[in-house]
Amino acid sequence: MNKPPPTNPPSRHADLTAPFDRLPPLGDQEAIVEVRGIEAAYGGRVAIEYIYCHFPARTVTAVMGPSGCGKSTLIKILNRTLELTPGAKVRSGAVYFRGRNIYGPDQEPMTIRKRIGIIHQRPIVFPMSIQENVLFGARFHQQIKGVSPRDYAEFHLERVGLLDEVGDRLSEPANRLSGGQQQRLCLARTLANEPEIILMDEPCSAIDPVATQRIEDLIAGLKREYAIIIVTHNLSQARRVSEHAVFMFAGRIIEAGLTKRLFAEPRTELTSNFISGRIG
Amino acid sequence: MSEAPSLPNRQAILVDRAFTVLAWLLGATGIALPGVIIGFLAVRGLGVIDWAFLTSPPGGFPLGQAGGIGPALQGSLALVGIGLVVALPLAVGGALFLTEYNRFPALARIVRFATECLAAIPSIVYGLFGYAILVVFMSLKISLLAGGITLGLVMFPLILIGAQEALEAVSWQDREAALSLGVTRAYVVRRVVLRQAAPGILAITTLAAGHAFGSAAPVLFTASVIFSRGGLGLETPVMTLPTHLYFLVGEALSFEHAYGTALVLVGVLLIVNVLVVCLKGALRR
Repeated sequence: MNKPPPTNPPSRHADLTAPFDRLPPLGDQEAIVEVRGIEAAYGGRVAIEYIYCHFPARTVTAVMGPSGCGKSTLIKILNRTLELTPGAKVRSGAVYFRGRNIYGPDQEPMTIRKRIGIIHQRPIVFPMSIQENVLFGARFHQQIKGVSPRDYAEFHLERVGLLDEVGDRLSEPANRLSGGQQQRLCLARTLANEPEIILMDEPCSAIDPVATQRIEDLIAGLKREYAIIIVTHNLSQARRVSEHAVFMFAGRIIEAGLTKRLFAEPRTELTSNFISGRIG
Repeated sequence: MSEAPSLPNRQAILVDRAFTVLAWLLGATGIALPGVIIGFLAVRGLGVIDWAFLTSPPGGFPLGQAGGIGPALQGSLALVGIGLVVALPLAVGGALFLTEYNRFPALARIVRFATECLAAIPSIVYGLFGYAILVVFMSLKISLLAGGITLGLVMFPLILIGAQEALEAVSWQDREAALSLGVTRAYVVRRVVLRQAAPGILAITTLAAGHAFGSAAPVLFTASVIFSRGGLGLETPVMTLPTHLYFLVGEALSFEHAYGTALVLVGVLLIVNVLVVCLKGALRR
């Protein structure tokens, strides 16, 4: 008997206004992360609310929207890094990662952050060597087993295409690298943690077009192994790299679905205005 | 027809020139002042400085007219060393608590205010406090230990304020990026925050140590004696450079030796500062 395709959150959330309770199905992949009714605030100001969505495994999902619409807030909620921002708080709702609520009382934020890695907008390298940057989290989580730290670092630098460029100067300070190289180093550092999902918060906004191209190529390769959720305000980038897309506006999800469909047949006027460049 | 380019405001240009000249003059004064002081000390004091002066105890009659400053140099360095052992962990620990762990901004403000008050207390008051509490009440006697702890108290507020500022200068995004990798706060503090703040903490520690090295008042009643043959013990009193200078000038024993002593005092501070600048450069790399 054929299994029915996965559906969206059940009707117990139907008290919320449409379309927030019934998002279009994202496709036939299994959802690795599911967000149910999240509301988050900075101090007393609500940043995002009525958030329901899910993210499939081994797929790139773009979170799009104009500046300040809550895209970054949403992805930081997915790995419990929002609470690192002073005053920021998830007020209600749940995020299910492989079926378990990461905001449940038995969940340890550090474990979640290790399993769901994040790349930030500005590449941030730590004041240590290139090799030690790669191993920063891996050493803490005791990931390096059976291989030398150098081999472990080289393996992950190879994955982001940096080994050829920096292989002979792993002991040099990481801040000598270019912006694009630093961003790939940050990606290698996250990969070295052996996460299950990679979140990217506008990873190309602070780097040049050539470096952006390299990051996009890496995303295309990495999606075979990971679910990638990328925040971008760059429509062309969303179109190029993602299969699924979520469009946010003023702290709410307006529309979600296959990227091709969302661009070709937007179902709301706001989405239509956004993808045509009239807002954003 | 295009208009001729308008002439810039003549008055504004004159004011700008006057401001530039004034800035140069004031800047030059700032550079010249330490230069003149060190130059003056060098002219008057360089003649007496040799290896024997730096290593031998004072001699002659009245004492101080001959001989050297060996025990005083030794004593001053030891006092600052003990002071640092006391002040550095306390101050950096306090600053770490306030910047990394404290969740109550009001507490940070109160501690900061109290520390600033502490830093503004005249050093002679520290001397009196050290004498009353350490020397008399705690029976440490006039000793290297009592003087070292007193100097530690002098350095503590300066280092705490400077370390707090150095730690606060580390960007919040650096901490966020590190914590996002699922590591503990202590790991981030140890491997990222303290490394970033190290040059700043080092700079303020040097400044505080220099201030303590040249202070006579805190050690006057707690550690120093007029004469010592050298040799250090925690429970024994020591000679110090600033108090030796004070006695030489106060009793009009030998102005030549006084200038020599002052030059050594300033010279040690200069050497330490240069070394710290090099170390800071190395840390930044």
